[in-house]
Amino acid sequence: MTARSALARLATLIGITVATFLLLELAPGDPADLRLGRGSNVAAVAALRTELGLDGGHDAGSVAQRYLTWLGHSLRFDFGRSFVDGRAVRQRLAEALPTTLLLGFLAALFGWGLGVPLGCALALARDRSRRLADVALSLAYALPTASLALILLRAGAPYGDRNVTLVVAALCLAMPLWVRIGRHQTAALKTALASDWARTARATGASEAQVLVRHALRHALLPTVTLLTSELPALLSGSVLVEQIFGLRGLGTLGIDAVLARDYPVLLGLGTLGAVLTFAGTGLGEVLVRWLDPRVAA
Amino acid sequence: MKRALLWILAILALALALCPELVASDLPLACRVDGNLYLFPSLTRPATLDPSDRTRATFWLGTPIPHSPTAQRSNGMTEVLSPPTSRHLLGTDDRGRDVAARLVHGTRVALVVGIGSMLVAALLGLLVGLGAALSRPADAILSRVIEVGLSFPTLFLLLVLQGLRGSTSLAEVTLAIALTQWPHLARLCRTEARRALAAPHVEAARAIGASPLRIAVFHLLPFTLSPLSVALAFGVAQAVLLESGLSLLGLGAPPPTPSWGELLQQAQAAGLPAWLLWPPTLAIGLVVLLANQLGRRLRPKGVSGWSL
Repeated sequence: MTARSALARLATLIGITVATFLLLELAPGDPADLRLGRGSNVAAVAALRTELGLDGGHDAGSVAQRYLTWLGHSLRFDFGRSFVDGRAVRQRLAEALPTTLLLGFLAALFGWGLGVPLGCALALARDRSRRLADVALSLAYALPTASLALILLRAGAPYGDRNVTLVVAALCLAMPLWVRIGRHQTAALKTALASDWARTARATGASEAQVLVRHALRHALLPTVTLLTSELPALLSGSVLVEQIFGLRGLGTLGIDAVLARDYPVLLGLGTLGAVLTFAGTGLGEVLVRWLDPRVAA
Repeated sequence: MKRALLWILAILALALALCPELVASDLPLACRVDGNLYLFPSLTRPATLDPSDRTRATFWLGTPIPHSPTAQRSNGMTEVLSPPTSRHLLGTDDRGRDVAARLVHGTRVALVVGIGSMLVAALLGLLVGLGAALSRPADAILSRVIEVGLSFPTLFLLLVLQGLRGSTSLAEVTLAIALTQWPHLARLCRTEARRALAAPHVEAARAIGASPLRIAVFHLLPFTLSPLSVALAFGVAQAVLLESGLSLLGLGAPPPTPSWGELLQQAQAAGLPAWLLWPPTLAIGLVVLLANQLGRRLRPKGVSGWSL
């Protein structure tokens, strides 16, 4: 990664913390109460108020000062305590994170695992079947994830076993993803198959499938990998619905409970975590793309 | 889908969103009660007319679905969560409200939120995108702002916003969705405006001393409009999905408002009966399909991006 882009990403990370801090400032109530939880003892609140620079009116500690204190806490993943059960937000997030990560990982796996072969098949298919498949894909893409999840629940599949539930939930979540990847892949492959080197390969007697697998796929995979970076937030946000419907205890259900209970510390911790996860994911994707194709050095 | 059919369906959906009362209402399209002629009382809801006046009416032309989307039926428990009957073609929900009527009126919430939020997002996106294209220092900052915006997973941000704000009105839901969608549009506008910036006509404009504002409005803006309209069409599909998702989670428009997501929520709460699950699913699916297809039609051949 060049120094310039690293700097830009650092700025973005700082921007994310500022945005989250602004959300915190928007929250009704006192930040000290926010951090310690409702009904915590008065001395502790007073001590924290001093620490946060809130003593003697709202502007005793400047906004910048409060931001830095908050940043210090957040860097240690200290998001305060939940209003509801008084446990550390960090702990509650840590409990919920694995489920969501696993769900997202499985969904990404299904998305690419189904989307890439689908794209290849469509690139090789005849015009007629491609048009038919296009209609089917448009219909599949329009089906809301939430509805799909409810329909699968109605079909009765995944009660009981948690692993089965997870896989079915991931399939739901992956649905719009693999359609999009498939489309993307087809377009990229068609461009690659129309190129001069593809014609040369054909002239040496390679079959269309061979040209595709040996030559075109390598070129066409790259844009699909870059798609990973832009799909990550969508996966995280889709998991909220899917988790709620399938009753999985992940970040999404944690967030919904927090909204209903007005549990601000949990909500803000969740917002920060979501943004940081996305940030880390896009960074990873960028590294991956550079590793796959050294020509991308911009 | 044929282009004409697509536009007809889109206009129909819009018409339904503007006046669902013409299709589903407890008041009629026209009636004569006690010698007074009422025209379109379902739209105007005159104070002197009541649904119970039907028995005294000499002439009563009802709407195709003669039920109010919000009227609850308290007599007889049999009407609560009833499967489709000849009286209630799509059955009733847990408060005895007609599902067909709620479905029709749900179009309004879906499209008002869907289109409204994307228009707000487009305005923000245009301002930020054009601003970023015009000046380098501004670009350094605005690009970071866009990236920060893109980093928040939409539903996470919506949860935080709805959680912090507490009450949720239709306008707030619209604004919240706009707030999560504008960075996508801003990024698109920035890219397109920068591309236009390199064109000879902009150089010429600059050479004759046009101000940056003039260049932005007259020479860059037109080049962003076509990609923007494509992205808007796709965006409306996303916004409709988001709104239904929020309503499903109980964070959408406040309770008596009929919305498709709320029907799904009822379906979930009531053990997924078919008449509560399929109608909203098909309605959402149809609108999303329509918007996505419009987006694809608006997009020039050979372009594959511009979607959200």
